Amino acid sequence: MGTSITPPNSNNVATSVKPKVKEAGPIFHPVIRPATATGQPQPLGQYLVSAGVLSPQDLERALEIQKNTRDRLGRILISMGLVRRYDLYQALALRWSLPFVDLLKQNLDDDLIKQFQLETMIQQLFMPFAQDDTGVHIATALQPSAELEKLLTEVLGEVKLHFYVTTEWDIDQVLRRTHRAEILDGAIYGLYFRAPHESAYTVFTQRQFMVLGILLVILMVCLLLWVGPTLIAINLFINIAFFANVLFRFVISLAGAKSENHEPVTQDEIAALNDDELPIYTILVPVYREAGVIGMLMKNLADLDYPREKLDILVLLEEDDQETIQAAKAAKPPGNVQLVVLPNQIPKTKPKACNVGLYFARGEFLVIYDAEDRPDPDQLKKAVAAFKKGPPNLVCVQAALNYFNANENFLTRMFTLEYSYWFDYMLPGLDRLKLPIPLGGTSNHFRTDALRELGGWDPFNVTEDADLGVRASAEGFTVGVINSTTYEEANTRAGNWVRQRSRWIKGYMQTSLVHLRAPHRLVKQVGWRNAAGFLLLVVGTPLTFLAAPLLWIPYLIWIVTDTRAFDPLFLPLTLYLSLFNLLIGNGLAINLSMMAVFKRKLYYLIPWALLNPVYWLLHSIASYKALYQLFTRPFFWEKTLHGISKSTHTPAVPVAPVVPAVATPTNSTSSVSKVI
Amino acid sequence: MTIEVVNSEEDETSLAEAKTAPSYSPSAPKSLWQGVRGWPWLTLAGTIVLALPFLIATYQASLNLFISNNHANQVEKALIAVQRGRLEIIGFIYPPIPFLLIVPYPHPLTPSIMAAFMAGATAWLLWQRLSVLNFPLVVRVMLLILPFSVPSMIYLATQSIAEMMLLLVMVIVWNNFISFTQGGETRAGFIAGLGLGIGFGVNHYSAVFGLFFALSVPLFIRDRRFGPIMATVLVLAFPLLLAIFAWSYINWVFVGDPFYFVTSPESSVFVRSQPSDYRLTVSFSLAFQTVLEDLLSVPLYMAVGVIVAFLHIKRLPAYLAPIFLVIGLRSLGLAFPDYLFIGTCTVLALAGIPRFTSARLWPLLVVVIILHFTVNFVLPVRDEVAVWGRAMLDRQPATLDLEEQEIAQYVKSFPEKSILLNDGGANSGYRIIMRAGTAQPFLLPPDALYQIASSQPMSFVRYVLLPYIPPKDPASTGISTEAAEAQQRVPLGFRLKKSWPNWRLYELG
Repeated sequence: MGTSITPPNSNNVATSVKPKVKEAGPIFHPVIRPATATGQPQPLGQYLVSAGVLSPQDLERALEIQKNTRDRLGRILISMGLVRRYDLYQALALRWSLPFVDLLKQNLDDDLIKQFQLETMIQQLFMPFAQDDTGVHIATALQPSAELEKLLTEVLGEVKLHFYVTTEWDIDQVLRRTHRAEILDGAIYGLYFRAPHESAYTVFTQRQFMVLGILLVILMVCLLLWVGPTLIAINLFINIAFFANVLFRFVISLAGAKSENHEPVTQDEIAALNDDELPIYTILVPVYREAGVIGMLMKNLADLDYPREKLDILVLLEEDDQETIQAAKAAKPPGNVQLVVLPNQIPKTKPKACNVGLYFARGEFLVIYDAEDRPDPDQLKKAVAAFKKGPPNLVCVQAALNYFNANENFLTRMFTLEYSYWFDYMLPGLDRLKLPIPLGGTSNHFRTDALRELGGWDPFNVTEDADLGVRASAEGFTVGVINSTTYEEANTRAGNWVRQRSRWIKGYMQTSLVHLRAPHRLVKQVGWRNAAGFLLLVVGTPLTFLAAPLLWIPYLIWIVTDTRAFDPLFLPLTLYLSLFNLLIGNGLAINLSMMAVFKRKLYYLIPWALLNPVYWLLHSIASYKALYQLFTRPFFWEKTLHGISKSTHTPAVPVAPVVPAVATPTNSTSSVSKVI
Repeated sequence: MTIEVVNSEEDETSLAEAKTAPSYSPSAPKSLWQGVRGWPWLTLAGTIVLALPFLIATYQASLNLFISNNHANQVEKALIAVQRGRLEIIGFIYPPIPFLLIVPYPHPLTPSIMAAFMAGATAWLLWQRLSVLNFPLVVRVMLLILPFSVPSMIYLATQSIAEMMLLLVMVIVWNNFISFTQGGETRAGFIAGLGLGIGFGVNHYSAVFGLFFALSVPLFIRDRRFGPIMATVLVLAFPLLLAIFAWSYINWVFVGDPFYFVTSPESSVFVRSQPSDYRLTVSFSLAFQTVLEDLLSVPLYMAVGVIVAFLHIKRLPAYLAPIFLVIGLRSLGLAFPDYLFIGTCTVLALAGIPRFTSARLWPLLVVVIILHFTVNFVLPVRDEVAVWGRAMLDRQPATLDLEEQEIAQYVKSFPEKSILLNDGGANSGYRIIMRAGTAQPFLLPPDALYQIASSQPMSFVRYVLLPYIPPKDPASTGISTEAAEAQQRVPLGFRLKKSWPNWRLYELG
């Protein structure tokens, strides 16, 4: 190996780097030479104590944790908020006999940096920042190794390498600055460039426009020439579709209910997990105009039963949302929380933010939470256990969602009924029958590498989560469910609800259009069975909401006027199907939602299930708005306001007791970084 | 009515399992019958084997041309529905589910074969229940075989598809009811509720069973707070209420009267519509008396009641509920046939023997079961069961059946809608259609032209088939047989073409 790793002495560094960094910030030199009596470097903890940045008692606590987790002491100290990241890495610099560099104050050599792949630098925690006659200057947050040297040599050739210590967050922050365009392009167009046929960037393909146009023309011609038979045929078709939907949901629900006593992950399996074997877990929390719930977010994250030092939490903020940014700073998050500010650029969507987060995710696994989410404390461990025992192609496990403000008003009650049914019966049923699972908005846990392989989220799809579930299935991955719940805030206002629901339905429409661009390909990829499941669930859902008023309006007219005008539209088969759909279909749906809340012991909600038909009317309103927007503003992200519930600050349902595992830091060790 | 498994040990088992139950569900005790769920093929095989004796009985009855009025009526309605192409023209016969099961193949034997398989399935489920008892195998076999071998049960299992299906559904409901109330399995609750709802499509007494289950909830549920009890009742009762609403709605839409299935002349709900089938009991004392008489036929039920009283007194009211319910129903004038009461009590007794009943009791139970078997052959059976019994014993067709068969064979090849016939009311026109195996030659009340054709038959049909009421004894009435014959109303423009003892066929011209 021709290149030598030179742990530069202070003089060497000072002189060698000076030409490039003379106007910039300082290179820090060790001022304390921590060494034991034998000449060995003083242990990190003792050094920090002797430097006065850590108390002996705190060190003892941290060492106690280290016994269990066997993680690095530094990571433990930071996650507990016992030392500042900056102090820690200065101490590490001394231990490694390397100088410390404040990257944020350096003039950076962009050409040099861009010789390396962004992902490599993020994952390997290094970046070259300058070069001169003496060689190349490398900042690293890990002790330099032979592997790193090899990697550098492969790109830089035979040059002398000078290593400096810096924090990993400084590396991230600088890389976000130097690679801003690349990151944004990747986050926005990554999927489109990788697999344009999987991206919703193109709403309708030419062929789809053509097919739609032809169908419309045929319909018009038929209506003009044979109005009666055409209406009869439409009526029959709608009723068959509803009937198929009713049967499908019934079968899925029964399969889901059958899983009732089957725990995907048992308490024993969780207990068998050793802290030292737990992997790093990345948590992405995209927030926008949610200053009011930031405090709650920090508390909820602190409640998670997972070694703090193994949590890599990225709070994704938007540049134009200064209020939330300030609130996040004021919350003084612990050292494992990184605040990442995204530039003010459209599309300003959650998937785009998550894609940026995905670049910087260092966890083996990754989960998304909304700001107001209250996950069950052991959810991450359950996900780890599920991945551990699941098949290798298990890309994601979805936790159940439910609401903590269920009893606030009509909407929240209905929403809770709906979610209880969806997450406790439907998704386990889809899981059991091995059908594609449209993921929920949050609490979906991924294998990070597989998620990257899938291309992350589609920022042009407004239900990127549902799309990802289907895409995963198409790519041969599987999605499962875990028996854990995240409590969210249910929408309390009708307007807000319609906005949110119209986005979801529009997203289902987008997902349908994307995956039906080449139906034969879909069938080839996922098989007939899964394709049928996709048709009935993802394609069928918006269609049934759109079709419902076409059935209800004539029905109401008939009830009120007793007209016989609609009689000719009902052939015997149509009549029987419509009766079945009206009486049995609706009844079954009501009954299943009753059972779902019964299962959750939300007994007071059971009578409210009878009002489901009213709630479904709201869905129809939202679906027509969604249809309109699909043509006018396909990528527009209807923002759901959070933090408006009365229960946002006072939990309505018992939440897990707060585990004060994180010492309240007296000095915040989080960083706010910004892509500029 | 109740089907009660009364055993404290079962609760203890549940509690023990609840300790290790997953946190995802409140507790997960296993139903005694839960193992059956995982063995569909075994269940199917058991059902077929246990149905065989009933199939043989069905075959024997068919050789003697016997078919019950209920089956005949359902087969005839199915023929009309299939051949006319619209279900609703027959006013949506109630109960609809047995009828719909016959529609695919409306043959006189179809309902009997189906009833036999349902009886087999019921017996199999009960065998699963008996298998956990500490009695010798021979005793358990006797407990299953002998009660199912008595005339009322064989009649139920071969000639009464609706009631047999109701019993099967209720056994399934019972199984799931226990899993739901004791184990908190919502799937079981869903199936139990669904069973009650479906049961209403099988027989209107499902509503009574539903009432029983609702009232029994506090006796079985673990969480005895008001909220969980009411919630349990609501989710169990909802499908039943929905089924009642749905059927009323359908009646309203197609017939104009939401309670047509109760009030129509052909309704089987009230006793007045089928006096020949059900015992007319419209006073409390008479109802009480008939129930006491019926109880003599079910010593097994009473003996198990005593065991229940000793081992689980709190659940005794639920066990005895059928007695009070049937007294109440008969007092109100609702039909509750003897054979259904006996069948209900039998099923309840077999399902209700406490799990850890002392093994030393088996000799006593053997005595009881032999007594049960014997009294059912000694005590007289009534109404149609008696007719069926005679047909089975005599091994030759009854005169009436032979006459119906002869008429059916004579008219079945007549041109389409050429014979005016009223298949409803008290006459047995529907039996002729059933035996003919076709409704094509007949113009019937469900047909649009029937009303007008009744007033002017000569303009619409070529033949009129009318029931003939033979004149009474001339000596007592003072009217000669010839004069009585002459008084028989002949449709205008028609002449007698052919006569049978109870029917006359008139031809145009």
